[in-house]
Amino acid sequence: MTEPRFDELIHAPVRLSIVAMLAPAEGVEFRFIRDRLELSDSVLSKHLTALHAAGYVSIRKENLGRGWRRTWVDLTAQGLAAFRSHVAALDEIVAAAREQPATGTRDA
Amino acid sequence: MVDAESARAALSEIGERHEQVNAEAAAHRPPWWTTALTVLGFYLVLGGTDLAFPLPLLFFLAGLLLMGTGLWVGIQRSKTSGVRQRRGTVSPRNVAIGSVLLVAVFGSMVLSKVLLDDHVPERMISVYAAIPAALLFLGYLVWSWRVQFGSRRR
Repeated sequence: MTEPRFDELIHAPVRLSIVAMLAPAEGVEFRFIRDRLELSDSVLSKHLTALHAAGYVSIRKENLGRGWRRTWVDLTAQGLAAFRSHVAALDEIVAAAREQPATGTRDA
Repeated sequence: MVDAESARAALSEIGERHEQVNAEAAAHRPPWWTTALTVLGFYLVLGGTDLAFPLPLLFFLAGLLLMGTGLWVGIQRSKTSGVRQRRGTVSPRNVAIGSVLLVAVFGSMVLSKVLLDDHVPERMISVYAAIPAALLFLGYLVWSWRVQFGSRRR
């Protein structure tokens, strides 16, 4: 069972999308993330650096020869656990809001 | 922390991104004809073993060529994907299932040969016995592609 834990680092809009793209796969290419999220190389690099510094992602460069390189990004075990905890926390927030009308408490 | 509306939006965003990645993986699944080539090659390699010389050698080489072509094209296609493989592809469960399927493939060949021994001319036994093995091998490949690339239909 995943312990819900809201993670401010992951929840930042672009970082949430990046981590969400990394979660279902073992290795996603830098270019694929950049193109799907419509980011520049530098913006994506900046977010990946922040996630890497937290120990959430690993980055590996693959040399294809003739100057071609592919950069693979992957969630670490720590990053995957943090993402799952974050999703559990989001689920909890949504579930709590759903229960509110039944208990009679309502925001003005 | 965030309110329920933002949490809902975040979960929806996560779902959409998951879908994009899964679709990319599935789009690079080997096409049906490469699977067919691989299975046909496998059938030729096994099916020709009891035929008169030099047919087994010719069947073996032709089969190897077809299998190699099918696998090579499939690998080339998957190499262009932006997603290496789906998470959990290499898990103890999948390794166990894959191993059981491969044992079943070769086990069925041996069993079929034993069962056909008295009913089919000796030189033709492998031709018939390789049919269930090839069908099981097809099942193995289809399962393997699904584990690695996901379902193509989304």
